[in-house]
Amino acid sequence: MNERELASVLQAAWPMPEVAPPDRALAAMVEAGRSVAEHRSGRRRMALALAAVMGLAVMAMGLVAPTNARRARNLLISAAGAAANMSIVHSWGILVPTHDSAGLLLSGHDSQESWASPEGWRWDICTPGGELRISRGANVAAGYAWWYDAERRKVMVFSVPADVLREEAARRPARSAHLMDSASMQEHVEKADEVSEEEGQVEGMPVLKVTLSSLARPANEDPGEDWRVFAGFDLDEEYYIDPAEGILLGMRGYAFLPSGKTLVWESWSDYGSEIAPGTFDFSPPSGVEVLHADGAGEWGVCDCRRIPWGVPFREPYPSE
Amino acid sequence: MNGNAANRVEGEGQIDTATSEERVPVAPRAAEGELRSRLERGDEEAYADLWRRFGPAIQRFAMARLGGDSELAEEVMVQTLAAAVRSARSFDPRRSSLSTWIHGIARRVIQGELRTRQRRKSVPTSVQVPMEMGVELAAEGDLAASSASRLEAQRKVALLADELSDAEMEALLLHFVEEFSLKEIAQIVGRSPRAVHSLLHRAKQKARERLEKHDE
Repeated sequence: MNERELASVLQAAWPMPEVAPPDRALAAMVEAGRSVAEHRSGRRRMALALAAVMGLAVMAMGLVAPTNARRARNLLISAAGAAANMSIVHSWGILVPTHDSAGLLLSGHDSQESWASPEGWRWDICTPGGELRISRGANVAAGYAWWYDAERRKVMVFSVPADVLREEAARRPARSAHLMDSASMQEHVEKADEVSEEEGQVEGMPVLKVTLSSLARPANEDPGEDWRVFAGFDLDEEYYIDPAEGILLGMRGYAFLPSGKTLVWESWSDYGSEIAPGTFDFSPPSGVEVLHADGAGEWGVCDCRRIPWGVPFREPYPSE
Repeated sequence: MNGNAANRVEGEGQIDTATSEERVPVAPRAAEGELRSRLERGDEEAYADLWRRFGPAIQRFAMARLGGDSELAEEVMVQTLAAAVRSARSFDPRRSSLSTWIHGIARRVIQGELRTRQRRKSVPTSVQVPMEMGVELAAEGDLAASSASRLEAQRKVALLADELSDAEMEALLLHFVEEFSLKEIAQIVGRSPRAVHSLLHRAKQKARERLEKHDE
């Protein structure tokens, strides 16, 4: 069978359908348009009211100094990088789960945990029922990294030189899963439309709170697949910094979705925690196929052609 | 999307990164930017334009991905167009075409359906009729012959769905049915063109092997 015949089979199976009159689709689009307009109008009113109140307060206090956004940016960038070489236990979860009318946030209900130390790192994603769905990690001493995918019943094991793993593991604590390292944070804050800083409290302890406000970026700019379609809405991220140590403690995010609902999630790190023995050893569940790939000299560059589902750790893909 | 798949297949082995707009210039980016503005303003005629341009194609894509469930496919199409209106502000014509952008949305809606309903990768019961019946119908006229032919093609696609991964099936459909280029598919699925090239190459190889085995 040649390629033309293959194309014929697929095209014959799925000809252009005769679609129903567009009444339902048009009604849904009109409703969506109305909802967006109302949402924006509400946000605009709130912003104007807030600006008015703040303006009055500034005038009353005789203050003229603008918010020191630059200081806030630097504080956050520095805090993101300050935790390198510390062990960390990190969790991520959704506080107020919601999804827009397209039901597009279902995967967000999974729980995620990660661990990192100079000995290795590990990132697990579990289903709401607690079943391990995806696991990625590395063991520095043993010189291997793994990628487990429960759906495919496969685990890919990469042999990676220990020095490469060691370097990665040393940086990993600060960038564990959703808390970024300073370089990533720098890029992140530079994309924000507004950055502000204030004092606050978390569980009774004083913290510095840096808030990034932005419009979620266009679809093709956002590399996070789960978030790809969630673009074009307002996003506030509050980062909490330990004022004494200058390290990033965690964050809470608010996404004002086009549906008018607000998604709230948070991400916390516990620094200096004892990490349970065996955390960086991965034992595949029974019946899981173990596949091996050769590691190259640079982290993440491996022989991707041998990964059955075609997903390497990250780009660049090797030439074929 | 407006390209000709039959012309493209001769270039197998090479990465085709030409966009459909490069092949057949039907919708200048400026016009797509204008459509976005009209969507943002709530122009109902723009909604109708969006439906005319993409409604049937999205519904076909959804049917193919959801095992032929036409009702669910229509629901996906409705949800996709509504989501496109809500997210119109995020569409950037400098970065992608409206077609790839909206198929990206459709893809996410479909994935949500696949996850939540854990749909089996098979031809739905409604079209699982004996082939003999299809052949009898075929004798009654062109329409029936067309149905039988489509039924046989769908059976073959069902075999492929059992053999190929979701990502591979998706790549085949986007390439051969929706007629997107590698670059466009890469934009839709969020991978590099090279990764899509590998994926598609593997998918074609597996598909050919499976269908040849079936024909033996």
